Amino acid sequence: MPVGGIKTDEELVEMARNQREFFGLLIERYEAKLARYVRRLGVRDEEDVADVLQEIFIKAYRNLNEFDTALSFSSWMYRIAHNEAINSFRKKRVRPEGHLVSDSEDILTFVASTEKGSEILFDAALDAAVVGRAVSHLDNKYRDVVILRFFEHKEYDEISDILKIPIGSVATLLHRAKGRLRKELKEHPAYE
Amino acid sequence: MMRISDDAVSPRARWVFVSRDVTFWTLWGGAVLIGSAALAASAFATEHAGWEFYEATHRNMITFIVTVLPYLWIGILAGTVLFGYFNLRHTKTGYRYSLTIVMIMSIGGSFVGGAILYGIGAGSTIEVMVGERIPFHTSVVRLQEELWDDADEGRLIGSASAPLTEETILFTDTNGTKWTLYTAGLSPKDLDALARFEEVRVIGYQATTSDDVFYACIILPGFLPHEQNSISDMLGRRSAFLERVRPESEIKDPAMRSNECERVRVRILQK
Repeated sequence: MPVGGIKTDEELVEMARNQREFFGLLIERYEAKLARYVRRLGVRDEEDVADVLQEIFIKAYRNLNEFDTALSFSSWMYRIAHNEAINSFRKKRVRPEGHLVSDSEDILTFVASTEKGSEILFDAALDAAVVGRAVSHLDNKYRDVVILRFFEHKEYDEISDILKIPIGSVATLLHRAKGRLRKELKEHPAYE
Repeated sequence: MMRISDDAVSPRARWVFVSRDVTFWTLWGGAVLIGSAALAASAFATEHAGWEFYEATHRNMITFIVTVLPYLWIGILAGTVLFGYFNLRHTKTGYRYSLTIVMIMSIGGSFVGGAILYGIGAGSTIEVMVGERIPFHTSVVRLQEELWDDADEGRLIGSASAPLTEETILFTDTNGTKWTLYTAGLSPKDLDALARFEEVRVIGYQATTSDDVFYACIILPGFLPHEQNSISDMLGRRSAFLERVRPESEIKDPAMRSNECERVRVRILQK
């Protein structure tokens, strides 16, 4: 429920459908989050980040009538952001390499996470840079779910909506991603 | 926001998105419907493939299955399942369904639809209609004719008409060829089948002296496309067939049982 005049995303969407200016409020809400997300996905250059963000919001506005409450607005925006980041890689013909090394705080949260499988990372007392590099080396499909789960703190159902894959596949990909990380980190000298 | 204003970007109409979703659901429904038709036709083709008498037409069960498998329908069913999967996944929330759920929805839908179509008798119509129009698909009706209208191999399929003598009747096969059918080597059960069924399968041998004379050793029910058979019906026909080919099977006149008919029976029993 809106409190003290603060509107929910969904209410703002409804208003933006009739009055363009309200979309500006949604841009304000999501600009920083999505910029961080596309950087994590591997868009490095700041100009490129700005271009991708512009495309994300134009696409979101153009397709505003596609959005309905079957999923959250946040998931919908992240989905568009994910697709636009991939389009950007395709246009530039580059392989995405995330900037996770700089996300030290998130990486440490990931390392300290109580989720099954993360103990090995914690026990190894590896530094954030090492873990960040290991995550960057994962295949895109694994890296996408790891970023959303541990860096964007999304729930499984949200990841399912963003990547358009079944929830069961999210769990499977996360499980395999952890296995691959564990394998890579075991080979790191700091683990010895 | 500036770019949105400058370029006068406006939201696309809702119907564009709704119609896209409706299109994918409709295509999925269409795939399920075609899959249902394929399943109904497959069920009909399998039911009437003549597996009860496979030893009479094939060396073993494997060669029989290879001959009678409804490849076209299996291919269509597989294609529709894949097509249905693609379309369901592209609906608005289709990605949420697991592969298992999507397969259950597509195959399950085709099974339900197929059962209904088969139940109302559409399986035979589809199989016959497609068999007549698609050159590379041999319908089960034509397949049975090809398998059984083969006097050289000791098989005929057709209908008996007027008795010619006490031991011969006029028999017309499905190609319209008329035969003088010798019935002296038949058991009472064979003779009963000959009288009871409009169309019959005949196992025997062709006379060496005349092209249009055929000696009947065993009579089996013909192709019954308008009958829906339960499993027990088919098992009943199978056991009747096996009973008929046994050497001790009763014949009208044991003295009349030819050595050739004995050989026909032994040949089937040895398979």
